[in-house]
Amino acid sequence: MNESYIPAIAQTITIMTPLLLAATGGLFSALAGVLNIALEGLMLCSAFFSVVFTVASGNLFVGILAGILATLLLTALFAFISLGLRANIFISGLATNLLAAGLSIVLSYAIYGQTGSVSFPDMPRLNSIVVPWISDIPILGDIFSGQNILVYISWILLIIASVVIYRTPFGMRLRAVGHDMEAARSVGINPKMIQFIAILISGFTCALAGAMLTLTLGAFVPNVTSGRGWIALVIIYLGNRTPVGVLIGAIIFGLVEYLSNFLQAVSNLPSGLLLAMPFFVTVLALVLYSILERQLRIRRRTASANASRNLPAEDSDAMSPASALEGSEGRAEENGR
Amino acid sequence: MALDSRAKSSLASFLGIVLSIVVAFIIAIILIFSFSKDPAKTLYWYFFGPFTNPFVFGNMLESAIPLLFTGLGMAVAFKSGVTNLGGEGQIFAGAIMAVILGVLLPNLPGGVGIPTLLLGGAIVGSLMAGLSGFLRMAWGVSDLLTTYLISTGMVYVINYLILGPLRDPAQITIQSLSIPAAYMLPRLLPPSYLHAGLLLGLAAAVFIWFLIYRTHLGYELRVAGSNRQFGRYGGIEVRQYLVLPMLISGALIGLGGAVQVVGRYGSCFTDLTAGLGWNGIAVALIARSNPLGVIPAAIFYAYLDAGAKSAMINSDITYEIASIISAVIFYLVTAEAAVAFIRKRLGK
Repeated sequence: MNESYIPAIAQTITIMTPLLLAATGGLFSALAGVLNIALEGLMLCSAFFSVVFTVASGNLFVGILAGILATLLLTALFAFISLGLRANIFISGLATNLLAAGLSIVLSYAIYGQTGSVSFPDMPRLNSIVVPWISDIPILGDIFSGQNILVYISWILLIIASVVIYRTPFGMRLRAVGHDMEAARSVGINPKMIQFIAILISGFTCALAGAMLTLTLGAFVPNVTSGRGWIALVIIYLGNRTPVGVLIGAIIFGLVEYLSNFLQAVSNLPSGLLLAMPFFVTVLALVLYSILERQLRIRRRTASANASRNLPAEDSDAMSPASALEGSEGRAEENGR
Repeated sequence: MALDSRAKSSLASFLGIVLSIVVAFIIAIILIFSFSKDPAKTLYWYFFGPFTNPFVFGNMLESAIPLLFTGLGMAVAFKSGVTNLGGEGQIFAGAIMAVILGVLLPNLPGGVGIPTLLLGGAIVGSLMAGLSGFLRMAWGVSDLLTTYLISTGMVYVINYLILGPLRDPAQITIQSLSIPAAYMLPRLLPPSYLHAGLLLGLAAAVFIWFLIYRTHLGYELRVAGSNRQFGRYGGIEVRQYLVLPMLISGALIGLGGAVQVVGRYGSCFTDLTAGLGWNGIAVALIARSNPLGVIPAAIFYAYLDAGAKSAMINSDITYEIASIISAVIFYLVTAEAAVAFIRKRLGK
């Protein structure tokens, strides 16, 4: 029997984990109405610092912890400038990405005297964990056991995220702020505080995502995130800003990346073109999603046309990627048509 | 002070920019003190290096040229309320298109060849950005996301072209085939690399300024950019203004890429863009999206870059320090709180 699909699935799970982690945290900021394009830089920050501190201490736990702390600092700076100093959040997001890229190289030069890739053959790496019982199950055991600790953490975090978002007062406030900031304010919620916390949560999971990238590699490579933060951002919106959607999105994009890697190894297709594939697939997915969403909205609107002719569309899409930059204005445009 | 409120807010906005630049310089000084073993020497080269001789000065002006084009492209996008985060891919695509045309059509007279290459670069950049504009107009797909994604994908494709089909086997370094020497723009200040592309960039700035502030089309673009709903009530077909500004923005950026080829390099290599797309956004922000403001902003940005390069060559810090400084400017340049604070101060 051909069982070659088993390592394929196991590898896809490894590949999708940074995406899943970043998207899980990014889900919080997305629900709070923040299109967080800093995910990329936040991942990169931790990817760098977790390696530096793992090498310095010889201890993975210390490394990951340091990666988290450094990333939370950068996240707090980003959140403070965007919310406190009221800078344009997209520009300060770009600044965060730029800062992480620059800082990691400047520090890498200061510490290791190199601006390119630095590899550490002797540093401890994230090892696979054999989960008792599960590993004994045929097929499933091969897939789900033997992953590294951050993979399991990513699943646990996704479950925690679902509970927090749908079953806690904080989650309710979070969704309220993202849905209608003024209404949330009028019932005594502090929207900026909620958004601040949501951004910090995204920083925390991005830190784990970044650590996963470099601690499995045993090296720091400049720009090691290579667009994964952006793809995670797309996953959140394609997943309709739900935990299940995020999981499905991460699986799909994990598969695309696996396929791209796999074809590089076995086919004659030029690797440059295969590296481009995930980005074009993402654009295609965005387009299909938007067409589908629009169809659904039109259907829903005609159904309730008489009831709410002059009211805003029920499904507030103020922060869908389509209108993220325009806020309520984008919604007005929909209605005007 | 007897300033009316409008003058006051543009003064506040200008001082806000000055403030963010001052903070960025302070951080630069702190960084140099923490990373350099000889801070005095590094500081000297960082701040004065670009003026030490005509060669480096010319090169600094040369590096302002692509920033003029990317800055203008981003300014058009900002003014029209669309988002173009695809500058990296668009400038790269413009450059490779110029190389492809130059290699395919080697025997045209220079006066025909150069415009052909430039036009090709502009068209490719324009189509790339325009696609995102079209996707937003037709189905409401976020231009912020698609411009970035298409651009990043294209960077991989172009890298593949340079490493594969278009690679020049005669060269030791990895670079594409070169365009004929007849297609190169004249140098303005030899031995520096400063070339006639500067004049083209200045002309483009004046042209875009005229287009945006002195034509009916520009008026509609600005209205659609500041308030789409208002624009619609004013009888403006706002939907088309999701695509048109993207086409213009991408064309300017792609043209910048082609100018890099015909003015500076003659060929294409994998790191040609080196953040020019992102820096174009910074230039447009410093210029507050005013096309004429893009000129000093691009030169200032080129100065920052040249300073970092000069400090790297003559002292002991790495060039990436420049991107930290840019990040600081990015962070502060749109901070409304800073501008509001200054405005309050002016009001007293």
